[in-house]
Amino acid sequence: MMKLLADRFRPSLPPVAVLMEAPSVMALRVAKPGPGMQPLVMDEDPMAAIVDSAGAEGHGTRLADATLTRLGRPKRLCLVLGDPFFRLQLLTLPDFPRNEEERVQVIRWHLRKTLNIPVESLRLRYEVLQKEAAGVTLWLSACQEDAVVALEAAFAQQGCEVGYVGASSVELHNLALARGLYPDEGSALLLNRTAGYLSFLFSDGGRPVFFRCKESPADEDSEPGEARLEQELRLTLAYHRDKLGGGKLAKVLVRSQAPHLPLPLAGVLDEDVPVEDLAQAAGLGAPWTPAWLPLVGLLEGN
Amino acid sequence: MRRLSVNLATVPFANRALPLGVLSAVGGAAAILMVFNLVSFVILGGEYRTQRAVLKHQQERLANLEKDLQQKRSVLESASAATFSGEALFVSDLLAKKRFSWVQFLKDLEKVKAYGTAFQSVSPQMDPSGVIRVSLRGQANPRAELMKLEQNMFADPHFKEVQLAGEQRDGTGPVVTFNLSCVYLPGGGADAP
Repeated sequence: MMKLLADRFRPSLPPVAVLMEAPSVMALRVAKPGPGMQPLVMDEDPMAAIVDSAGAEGHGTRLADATLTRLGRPKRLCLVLGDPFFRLQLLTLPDFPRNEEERVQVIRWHLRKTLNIPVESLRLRYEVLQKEAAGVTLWLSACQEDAVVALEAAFAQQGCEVGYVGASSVELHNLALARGLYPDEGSALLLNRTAGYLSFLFSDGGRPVFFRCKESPADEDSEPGEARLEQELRLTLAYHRDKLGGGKLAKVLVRSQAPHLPLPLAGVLDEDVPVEDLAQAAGLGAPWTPAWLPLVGLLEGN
Repeated sequence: MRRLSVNLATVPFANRALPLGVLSAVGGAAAILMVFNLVSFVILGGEYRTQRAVLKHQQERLANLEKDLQQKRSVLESASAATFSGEALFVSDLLAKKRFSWVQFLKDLEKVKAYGTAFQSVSPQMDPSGVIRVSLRGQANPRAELMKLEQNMFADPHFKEVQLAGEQRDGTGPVVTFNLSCVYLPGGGADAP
């Protein structure tokens, strides 16, 4: 019942959102969230420039101050962060308790097996994707409690309440869902390519089935970037096909943060698999470049 | 497939439409009631105040009457009033015993009346001792009917001391005009003095 109400009455998000995805901080203010929204403020700044101007101390505060100033000092704000900030994964549990505390305990127990960090320091949120006799499939999001609290505190010091913290790929997935870009049958792959990471989100009929985020190494010269990406693509596709029993891809949607970022799909995918640019497929023209898509996905769906 | 809504904020934004809608509905209802109350106060207030004044006046009057009643009751309950009250009861009882009922008298008179007699006047009078003396004047046709009336009265216990005061024949006819007196005993002589 509560879930139905929550779905029917989604949170009222403010028309102001910030995307922090290295190497940029992108701030957006629209007149009114929703389809066909009109931007009032679109500001993109290099993250490093903002941070460097403040010196080593007070990075967060300086970042929040600069961002909020550009947005006209809003009182409420949505934050979208790059996928590496989170631990996003699908989790299938054979037994899913009714009690909320027990659920969290079960989830933490499963996370302990896969993560080499203390799971008690993580903030967890989950959403039930599928309930079957065999088990319950969850979309699990986790992040470091300290990190998100520090981020919220930095904005709170500037008089701004952060009431939404979401992941970039999740917003892209919601955008694709809202625009009906996923095929009704067969698997689809959403690739989120940024300077800092590459995310894979496989879905069947719009329902996520596998997610993986691969961060780019800080030292780009350590290995040829394109070859490494190709290898990651091959490995991930093979895992989806062989380990998860995924079928042939019906469509691949690509969001590339910047045009110059390599994404060697030609040699990895079958020739007949359609590859579409997410922005073009969604019918988004100027001023919405691919870099803005997570924010579009967030505010349009509100 | 529904969208993913995973929010990791410490205090996630909530939906404001539902509570705001409820608040708006409650506020609207309150405003409508307020307007209704004001209109009622203005329109009906004058009449209400008048009725309140009338009610207040009646309450004051009622209080005065109750106070007066209380005073009179206290007077009646005093010693002199009690004596007076006893005397009144005694007189009332006495009068009840000496009462004269026309209905009962005429019924008794009808029982003794002979067929050929007719009464022209009947005048009962109570003397100071409470004895009811009755004077009768009438006509009898023939005279034997007068005798029958006298005999009936002699025989009836309600009549006593029956006396024929006079009789006079009208011309040459059989009709006799008579005057008769007697004592009437309402209780048939049971409570005769």
